[in-house]
Amino acid sequence: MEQAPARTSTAPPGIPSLERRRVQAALRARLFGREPEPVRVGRFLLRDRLGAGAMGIVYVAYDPRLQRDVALKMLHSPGNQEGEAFLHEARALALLSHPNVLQIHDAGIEEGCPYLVSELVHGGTLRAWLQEQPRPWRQVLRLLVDLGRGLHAAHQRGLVHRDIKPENVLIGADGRPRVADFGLSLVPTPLGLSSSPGSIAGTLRYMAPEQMRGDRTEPASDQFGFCVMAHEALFGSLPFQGNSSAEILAAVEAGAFSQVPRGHPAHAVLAPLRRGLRASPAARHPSMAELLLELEGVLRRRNALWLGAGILALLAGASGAALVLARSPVAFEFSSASERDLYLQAAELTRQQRYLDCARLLEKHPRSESLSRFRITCAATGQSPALLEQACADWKRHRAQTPPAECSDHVREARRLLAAGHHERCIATLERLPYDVWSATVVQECANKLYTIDGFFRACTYLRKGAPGPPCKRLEMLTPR
Amino acid sequence: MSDDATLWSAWCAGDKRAGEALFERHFDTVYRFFENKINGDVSDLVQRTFLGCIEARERFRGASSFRTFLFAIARNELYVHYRSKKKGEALDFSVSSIAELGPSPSTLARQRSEREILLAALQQLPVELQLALELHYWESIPGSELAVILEVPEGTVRSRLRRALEQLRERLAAESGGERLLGAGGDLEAWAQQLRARMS
Repeated sequence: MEQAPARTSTAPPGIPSLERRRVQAALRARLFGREPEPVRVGRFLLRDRLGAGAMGIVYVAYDPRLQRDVALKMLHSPGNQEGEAFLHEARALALLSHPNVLQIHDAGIEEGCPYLVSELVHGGTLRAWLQEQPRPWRQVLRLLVDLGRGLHAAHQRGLVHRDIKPENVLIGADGRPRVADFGLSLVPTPLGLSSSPGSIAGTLRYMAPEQMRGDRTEPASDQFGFCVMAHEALFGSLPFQGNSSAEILAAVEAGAFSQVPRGHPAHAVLAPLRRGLRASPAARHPSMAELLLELEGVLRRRNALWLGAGILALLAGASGAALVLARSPVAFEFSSASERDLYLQAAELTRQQRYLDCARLLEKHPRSESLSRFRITCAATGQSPALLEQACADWKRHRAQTPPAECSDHVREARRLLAAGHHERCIATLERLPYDVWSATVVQECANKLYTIDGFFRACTYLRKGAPGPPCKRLEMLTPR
Repeated sequence: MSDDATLWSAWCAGDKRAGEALFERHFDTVYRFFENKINGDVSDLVQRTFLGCIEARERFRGASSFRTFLFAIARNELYVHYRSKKKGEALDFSVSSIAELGPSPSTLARQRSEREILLAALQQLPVELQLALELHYWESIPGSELAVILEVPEGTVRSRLRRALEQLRERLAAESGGERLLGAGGDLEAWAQQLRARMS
């Protein structure tokens, strides 16, 4: 009886009522030691509140069916038609699985409010990541390219994001960026309504002109937003200046780009970005793929000592892992000549496939970020759990930032099992976890050594989660349909 | 069903079930008190208010009802919360408004309903005035008890209510869509009652 909300309450149904019930249930448990009776949204149990914004409230929720924590975003109630459109788009999103797109697990409508359930990412937004500390431009560009791949994958499925901005990019503790909040702009927000000069809603700054005018949005509109975001992330300034949406729109249409300091190391990126920022959608790159190709070209061209390509070409013959590694290449920057010499020695060792010798050599130079990372990669490729453990420990000692994903416990444990020849157990360790490229490397190595149909099948199932392409082909031929 | 006073003394004597009954009965009121004044999770403040009752039980004698006592504690917790948020700055609650102290999501409401327009206008009033208005007209707390909650003489309560209504009219006139809520004007008291009826 006391469960029912009081009749005198003036709170409208929907989010306010759900939130009130959640707080009440939590306090009942906290104050009086009652069994917690969490509020349900669909099959999910609301736990803590993560944050709130113009769109609605985000919760940590528990999925009893799959026994895991998820992020549940409750959105303010839209009209009925918008609710339908939302569910339609959410279904399409849930089918998309890409390492650089926030994985949507489920969606529904509760008390008239749409909600989206996604993977729970421990980390922050791209905005926070950029503000945290100065980032080398190459690192930023690599991250942007990864994001672009996620966006492209979505476009290939006919999905348009409509609200690309640094706040809608989440970077996990593993360093992997994900595009979040796809298609949420279907739900009306107050942001477009602000009209007072000097207070342009942040989102408008990333919006393509056709979108500002309320025309149809298409993948090219996302490309525009992506380029605004990339410009800001790389150069620290927006490509178009203006104090009102009308001024910005005028700058876009006139192609009046803001100045970028001459000789900025990322200058070569400017041309492809500016093409993506053209006022007419038809004048932009035909798709994200062409833009990404050019951005990757800059990464490769401008770095004669770019290690990734060399190493990966060598690895390609030795192990299928290279295919996976190639998807998140590692590039290097040097702060001194001695560092570069050390690197050249290391490169020679890897050419001879002496990865463990290389890892040992690099122990002497643990303070450089790029070489420390390289050392970890070598220890992992050489399949020495002991060296990997040590390299990871050194990383932790010298650096406060997030260690490379190879240092995460589950990947290390899987590598240990792999090195010890426990292939089945190695796959079993990883297949329950969400897909990530570093685990995929291990699974791939493992699959190459497995001789049971079941093992192949499980490895392939895992790999297909992240990369429905070539890396699976060889395995697929061996697996029963 | 026992009345508040009986449940209260039972809770003070250690009867947890009496405490739970009081909690269930007054949760909505306390929640509503914080809901449009805080941007974020209000659970800690609601919890502290209920626990604060136990800590401050000697002071209960001054209030005529448990609800009045609860509001006095809630108001205190609210001020403590704002002060901790703005460490180092002296806060004057007769000047600072809740909109300055951190907007709640309701200020960002989409197609704004009358309720939301009113909330946005209320949040621009100095905190003291907003509290007086809401407690008096929404929660029907009489002036004499309001004096206990706000810790000011009863005469001050009356002048504060009048000032609050006047300022609310000004803010509503400035809010887009707020004109609809202004009505004919004239008798402020009658207007406030109308507002209340339209809100619930």
